[in-house]
Amino acid sequence: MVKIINCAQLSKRKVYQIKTTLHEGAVAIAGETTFQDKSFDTCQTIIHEAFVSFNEWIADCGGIVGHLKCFISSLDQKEMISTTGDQVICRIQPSEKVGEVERKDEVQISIALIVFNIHQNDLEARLIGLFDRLEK
Amino acid sequence: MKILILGGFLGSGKTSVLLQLASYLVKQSPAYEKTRVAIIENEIGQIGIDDKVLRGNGYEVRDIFSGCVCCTLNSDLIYGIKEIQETVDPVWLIIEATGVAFPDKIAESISKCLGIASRMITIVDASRWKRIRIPLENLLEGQLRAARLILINKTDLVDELELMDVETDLGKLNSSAVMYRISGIKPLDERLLKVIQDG
Repeated sequence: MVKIINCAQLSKRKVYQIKTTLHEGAVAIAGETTFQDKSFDTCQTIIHEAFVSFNEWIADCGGIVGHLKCFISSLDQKEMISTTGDQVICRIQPSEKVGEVERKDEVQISIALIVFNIHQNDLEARLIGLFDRLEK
Repeated sequence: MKILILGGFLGSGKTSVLLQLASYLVKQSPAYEKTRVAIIENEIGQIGIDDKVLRGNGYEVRDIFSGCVCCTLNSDLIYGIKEIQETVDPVWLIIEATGVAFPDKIAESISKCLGIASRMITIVDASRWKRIRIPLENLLEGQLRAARLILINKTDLVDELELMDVETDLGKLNSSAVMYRISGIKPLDERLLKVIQDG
């Protein structure tokens, strides 16, 4: 297993960090960030659209989606967005407190991508692109 | 402490089965003595998603991230099990393996290091079986080879003919395992939950 704590493509000025693990032929990339004053619904829509486009891109490249998963959490809403390559599914989660202490205006986002037969740099670039879109 | 290992490829439905199983095990116990169920969640990436879902459903979860307990993080697993046994001493410990783990390797190391025999369940996504069967052959065969129970999930997404093909294929890979069809759109059958509970 090769562990790359700070992925090669991430510059220091980013507020988030993504981490890559290679295992059994799979590229596993995870990233987490917290936004202030962002709408939960806007983030949810952007991530949903991104997962749809990731699925298409991975299929076009001959890759196999292990899973693409995201957990979005705000003070009163929690949702998991996931796909295994076909449909992107959004599941509302019980709104019991999980994870770090959340402020009223915060949206916490955790994303984990596990994909086979896709180059690590390309997948990292896609996730960075998604975080950049969320940041705008 | 009874140990149950839930294996199966990424996205096969391990966490959904785990939630139902944990709920069933707790409900089966008499009100004056709730059955304690502990969960070890192993995720290959450095940030967990499933652990957040499990915690959100009210369970105490110990995480082992950034690697696989069947190989690189094996010592973390053994340490984690010992700690749970000493601090929580649950009736049931459910280990959700990563989607790229070999459950039999996990069971083997638990047996060698702790002398506990684990039960192994492997979950298969019927809707993706044909797509991933050849490119991920070694991984899938390894996940199935020692399972005593195979749950064929997402059966609502394939027709009967394809389902029979999947079952035939699985039978060739592990002829001794008992197979059950399940679906994410309806709760697990209570008889199946009892089979899992009784081993």
